[in-house]
Amino acid sequence: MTTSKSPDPRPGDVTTAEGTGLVWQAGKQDPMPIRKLPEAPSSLHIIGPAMILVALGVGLGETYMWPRLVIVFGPEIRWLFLIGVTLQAVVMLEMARYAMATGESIFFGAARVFKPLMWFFFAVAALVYIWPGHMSAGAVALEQITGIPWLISAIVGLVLIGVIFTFSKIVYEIVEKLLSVLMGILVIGSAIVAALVGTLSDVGATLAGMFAFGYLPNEALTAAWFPIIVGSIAFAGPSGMQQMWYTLYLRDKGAAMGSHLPRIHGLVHAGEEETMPSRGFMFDTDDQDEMRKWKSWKRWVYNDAFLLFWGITMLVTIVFTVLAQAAARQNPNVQVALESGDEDAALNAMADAFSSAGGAVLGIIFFGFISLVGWKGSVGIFDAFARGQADMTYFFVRGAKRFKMSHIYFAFLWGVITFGILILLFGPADGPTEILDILAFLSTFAMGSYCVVLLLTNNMLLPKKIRPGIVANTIVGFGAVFYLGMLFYSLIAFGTIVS
Amino acid sequence: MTRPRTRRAAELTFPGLAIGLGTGVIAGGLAAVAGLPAGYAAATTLTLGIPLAVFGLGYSLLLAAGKIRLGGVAPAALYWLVCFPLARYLHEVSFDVVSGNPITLPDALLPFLAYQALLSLGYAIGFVWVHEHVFPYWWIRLRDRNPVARRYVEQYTAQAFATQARTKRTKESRPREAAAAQRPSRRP
Repeated sequence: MTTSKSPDPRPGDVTTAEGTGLVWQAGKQDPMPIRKLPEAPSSLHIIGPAMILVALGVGLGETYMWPRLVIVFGPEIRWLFLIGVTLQAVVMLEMARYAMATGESIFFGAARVFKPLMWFFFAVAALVYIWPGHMSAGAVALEQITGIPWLISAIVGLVLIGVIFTFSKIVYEIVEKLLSVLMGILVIGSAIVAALVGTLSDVGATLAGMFAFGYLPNEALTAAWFPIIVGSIAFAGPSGMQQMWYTLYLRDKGAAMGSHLPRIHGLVHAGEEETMPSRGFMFDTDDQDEMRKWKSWKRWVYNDAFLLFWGITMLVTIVFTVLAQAAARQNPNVQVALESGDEDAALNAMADAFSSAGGAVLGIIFFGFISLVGWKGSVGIFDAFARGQADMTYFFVRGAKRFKMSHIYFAFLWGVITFGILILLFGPADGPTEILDILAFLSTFAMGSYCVVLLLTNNMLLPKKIRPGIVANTIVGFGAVFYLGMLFYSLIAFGTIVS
Repeated sequence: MTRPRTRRAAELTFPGLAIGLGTGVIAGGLAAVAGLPAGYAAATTLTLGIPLAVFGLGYSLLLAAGKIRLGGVAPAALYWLVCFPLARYLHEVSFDVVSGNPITLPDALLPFLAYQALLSLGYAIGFVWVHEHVFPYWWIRLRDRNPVARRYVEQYTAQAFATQARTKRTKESRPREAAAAQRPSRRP
């Protein structure tokens, strides 16, 4: 760590500021005071913010889009999924590096590099995540089971999200508990259903396909399929800005330097919230004991990233691919519907196939899962959206610090819920597919951009001893080239956006 | 002397037993909701739920004996790698028995078991997940009278202590941070 007594400190210097002791100069915002790192928790328990990322990330990409590609191109196409999810795991670790070292969100990091970058993400989030697409997709599936009109259940579902968060004491805890239970049911349930209907050859082919590196049939390179494949890679694991929001969950979980910042309270408990400091903190990287604790925190987040995030994302998508293969065997309509890209018809045909294979119960369970994925996605995304926008507003909109972070959070949360209800009632986009297509395009663009931001924040703003190594930098750099390159190649070569 | 010991053992094995039986109840419950005959739903509940409950009980016993790490995914995955295929095999056989059908073993037994073994990882993760998120409250209830439950709670509270320390730190630094928040931001 460079120590400087220069009266005009440059980024990357440690200086002494009046009243706060040593500070770390990082970029263009307020310097970060030096504080102690807390001890890392034991890795005994599989709880961590990665669970929320898994719950956010496991969505229609895993349950619909990748099974579809396997049916159309064969299981060998799954090597692209392996690349996509592994890349995301590394990105997740790099997001965690910045958030754990500073207690700041990656949005704050972007502002330290170049403030318009942060406003770009603010705008992308506002454009992409205000649509109630996940909720309507889940509600359509629920209608298949219960007969309750999807519009009613979608609106009730949206209001329920707001009510739950409003009355919770600590918002993070309720999000973690809620998504934990939903994910637990999804994981156990999907394993049981696959055990009842699949075969060894299905899962064997699916697993082997993950290692068919370089397999790309000619049809995959056509205007009809290339954008879909790029979109599906973007949907492999957490897509769009979900990785950026992960840094906010790390802060609320109290991971490493995040422990020095207060947590967001529910609206009815907002008065108990401590004042949010105006920036994050840094620890002394010259102190051996601090570096020992930092290594423990890195181990903790590695467990989180590879056991929870990578493992469960892989598992769920393998199970759903096996289910799709079993369904295609049972009912040729599944293959036709999947190839034609009619999502609703494909989901219906898959449910019919399961019903004929294992009784009506399997068809119902399938729709139950799709419905669960939809509601779970909405819970996580609306919370994360409000969290991210509140973070940027609080720190960078003049006068916003007069309010508590919780109040700004709830303004965004109820705002997005109200907008969602209005769109469901009067919006032009009736079907969820249209909404998800737009989301896929902007998701890919945001993903390429945040890889660039990560390279900048972690290599420019952190002390040398805790910066990423060459391998991590190369992988994140590859991510930037991959996401942005594929997006623009698709535009230039085929004149189409990813979908 | 025996009764308290039996009671303690029952308390310790309840989570594993409940998760296994719960899995059967979910499958049977959904069968009932789907309009399948009550007998079919009941048979599904019992023939799937009981083997999973018995193996779940075994997991809890190993956990209490300290042979399995609390919250560890790898030990649970190894345990269910063996037990999940067995539970599914027992389910297939006992379903036929309960339904009054002639017993038909899966056509290719080894591929069947291998397939179930592969999926056991999913069940293991879900099992540990529910165990770690739902049952800590159960151990807290028992900790005063059950030494093993107390041991579990102590392991969980290591994390809680860290959180408390954090809250204390945040509150202590509150006036200083509030003052910092009032200061105008430095412009580059």
